[in-house]
Amino acid sequence: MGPVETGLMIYAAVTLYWSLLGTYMLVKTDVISVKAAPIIIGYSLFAWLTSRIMYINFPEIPPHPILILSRVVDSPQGILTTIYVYVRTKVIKIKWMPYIIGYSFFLAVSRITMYLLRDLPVPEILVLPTLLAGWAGYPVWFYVYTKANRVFTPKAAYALASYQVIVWAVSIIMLYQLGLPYSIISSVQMLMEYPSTIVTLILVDRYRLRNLGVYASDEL
Amino acid sequence: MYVEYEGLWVAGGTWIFTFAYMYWVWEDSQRHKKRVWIWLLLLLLAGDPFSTLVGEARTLGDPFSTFVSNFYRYEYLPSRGIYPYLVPLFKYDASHFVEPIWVLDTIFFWNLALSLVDGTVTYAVMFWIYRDCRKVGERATPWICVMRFIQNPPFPIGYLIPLGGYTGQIFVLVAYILRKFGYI
Repeated sequence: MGPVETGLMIYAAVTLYWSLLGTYMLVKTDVISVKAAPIIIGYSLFAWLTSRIMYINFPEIPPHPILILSRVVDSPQGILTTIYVYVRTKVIKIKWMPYIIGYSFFLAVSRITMYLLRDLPVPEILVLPTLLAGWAGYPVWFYVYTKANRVFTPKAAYALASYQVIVWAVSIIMLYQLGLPYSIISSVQMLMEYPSTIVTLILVDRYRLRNLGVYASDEL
Repeated sequence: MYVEYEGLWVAGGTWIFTFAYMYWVWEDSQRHKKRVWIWLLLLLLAGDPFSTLVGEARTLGDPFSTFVSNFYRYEYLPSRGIYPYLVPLFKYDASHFVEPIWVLDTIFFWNLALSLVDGTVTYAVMFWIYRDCRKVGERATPWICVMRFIQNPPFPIGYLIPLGGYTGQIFVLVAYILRKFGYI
């Protein structure tokens, strides 16, 4: 065996180790049932394998169809586990079917848009899909936070949406008007995420505590 | 030999721990009816790429490290007129190395082994503290969040309080045990 095969076997073993240990902890702390454990382990190995096959075939930026497929594979990690944590710990309530349908629809929209933008040159390929994927995700979060649960009042939701429009506009200006390199754009984007993230955290927390009877007031 | 392919060596599966401790933090805060956003902010500032588990909120990290890591990302170097290496799979050209390649390979695998130890100690201590807190009815969230934060704090805190790896976790574990038995 050459170094690539040997190395991949070592890292496959490490991935299996983390997956088994993590799943054991999930089961022992009642996060998931024993029946769900093989699904988590299987998904974890599958996601790792997909990313490695992608890297072996496309060591630099992969073509769009591959990038889209890999992000579809990655999606359960971020969005679905978030919702699972929220619903299971009774922070929020949702109806699963509308959520899954809405989530799948907007995931498909964001990926098709990304495919349509496949001929863009290097910096844009990394900036625009991030923005588009974020925007495509908003309607589902709107459903979760404003429609299914009253985490945001309409006023707060409009304020946050307006702020996101400003963030979006600043990114576009940095990209096209100022022609800044991606390293600067990414750090400014990160700084601009601070206010909306902190406000979201506070509102979710207040909503949760209100439901638990800690806050008597219904005002946000 | 192995170090030349560094970009290929990525381990999976650690996202499960993020899933687990985010659940523990929410569940613990629900049970104790206590505020959680300050602790979640600490987790987000630790910049875990999978800590996006707060809905529309994003992982925060620190802008300085984001700038530096993206500035040197080799995918972008050609757009700046720099062509570091164009052979697929390879990250480094071994002929440019001063050190013998076996030395670098040894260091590489030593670091891998150490990261396994670091990770195992960290998550095992988190797991133990959460279960112990649940059993005795104490709050686990501050312990979990501080453990995760000191593992990867934003710049420049990591330089001022160098408690990365499992060193910091041992400090937290000792503090937890001392508190549990009423010494602090």
